[in-house]
Amino acid sequence: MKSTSSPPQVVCGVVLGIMLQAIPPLLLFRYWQLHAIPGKGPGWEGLAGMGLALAAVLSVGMWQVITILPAALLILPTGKHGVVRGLLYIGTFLALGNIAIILRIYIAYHRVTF
Amino acid sequence: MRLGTLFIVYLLSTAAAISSPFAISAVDKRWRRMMPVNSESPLESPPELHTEQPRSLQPIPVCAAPAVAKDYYYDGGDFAVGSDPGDCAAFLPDFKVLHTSVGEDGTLYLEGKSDGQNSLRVYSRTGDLKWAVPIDEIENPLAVAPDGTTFLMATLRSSSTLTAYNPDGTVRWRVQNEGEQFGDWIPPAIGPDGTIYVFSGVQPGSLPDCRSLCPAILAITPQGQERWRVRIPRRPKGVVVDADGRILVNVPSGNLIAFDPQGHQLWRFNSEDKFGKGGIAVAADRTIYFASRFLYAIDLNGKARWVFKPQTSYTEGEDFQDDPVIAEDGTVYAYSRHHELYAITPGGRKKWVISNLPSGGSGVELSSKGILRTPSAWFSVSSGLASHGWPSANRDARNSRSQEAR
Repeated sequence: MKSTSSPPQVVCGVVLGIMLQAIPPLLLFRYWQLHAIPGKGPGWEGLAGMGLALAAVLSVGMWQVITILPAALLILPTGKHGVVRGLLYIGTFLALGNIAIILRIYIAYHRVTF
Repeated sequence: MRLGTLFIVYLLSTAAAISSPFAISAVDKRWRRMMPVNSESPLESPPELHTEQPRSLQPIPVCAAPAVAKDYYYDGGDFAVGSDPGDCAAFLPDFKVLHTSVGEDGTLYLEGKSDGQNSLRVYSRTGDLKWAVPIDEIENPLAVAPDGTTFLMATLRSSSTLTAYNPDGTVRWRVQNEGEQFGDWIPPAIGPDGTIYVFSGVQPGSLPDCRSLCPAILAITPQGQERWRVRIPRRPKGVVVDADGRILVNVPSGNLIAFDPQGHQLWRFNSEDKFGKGGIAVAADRTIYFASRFLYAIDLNGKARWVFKPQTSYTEGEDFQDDPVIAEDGTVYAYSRHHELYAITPGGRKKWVISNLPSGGSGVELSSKGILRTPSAWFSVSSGLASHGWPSANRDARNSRSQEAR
């Protein structure tokens, strides 16, 4: 298989990276339904039971790990380096963007002052 | 960029994104523990805690006015809190009272509902009905001038109306503004010269830079003429007036704005509180106590004289948001978010503190007889509510909301 890194492939990777972002919330929603409390319907009580593990999964960096990293590793052997490159670009962008958002939220709402 | 390098950059940035919430949390915790707070030992032991109904008070209850987490009782020209609401059955069997005030002559003003009809009923101190008028709303506390004139704010169909009732119940005047109050009620406050200060929304164009419905403070003369209006940033939580006629407006979150009697802004204090509504009380010596996350003692120039920070302010988010009350001896009582009752000296020292009060409701009240009450407990303290300044939410034990002297 020919290994290329053409702009169309990079764009394809970027689009794929964005679309893959939908997977974690879908998994989360599924989990939410699985943990429905009888008589109360799907609830946050079951979700909250995950505690720190959920927080880690939900942490914005993990978002990339459970979507882009596996996707990139799966596509890499096929030689479509452009797609991999696009995935990594979008992943890096999202990760750095998430750090900025976390800092912004902290400064806006949680940072304490003397 | 080479693919391998890009992979490393991606992995590093992802790792940073994963760890950043935890890193920020760790740094934040360390930072919070370093913050200076009041960790001194209390100067004295707290008074005895009573979690049942007060028994030291034996008022002659002529009415009960259930407000938010509190009951007022009228006692021969004085107000007390607590006791048994059942005592009111003989006096007002069919009238559900929401707000109540007492005039200087002991006249009792009750806002309530009977058979679905809202009304303002006024009784003599012997319990005889003097007059009653139907009113649109009973949610807004009234203000009573020393001459018995009653001021009531109402909002109906996107307009706010301030009505002045003569001591005989006739309407003296009405002032209407085509702009509603935007939600919860901000009762009027009467200044030393009889000027009535109200909050209202006002129409675009009626104030500089007002392009839509704007929140404003309006000064109304005792004759019903608008003296001035001034824009404020947003809907306030409360408006009080000090003995010098300064108008103090608590604008959430964390803003305290002072205006002079001519409507000029004197200063603006910001507590940097981002969420709370805050509360105000003014001591006889003009010190303003502003509960806005911490308790600030603010001087005449709008500068913090001292700041009282509970020990767990930063580590557990403890804070003050309700109106504090001031006793005649200058002690400030403040009820915290975590159900702790603080007694703080006029110098900002921790007089005593009671922790782990039963939860439910918020706020603190002090009767003129020295009964200090939280929603779930009461205490007998050495000094009653201060007689000067604006020491409690409705100014005095009569709920007059008036700074005017007869």
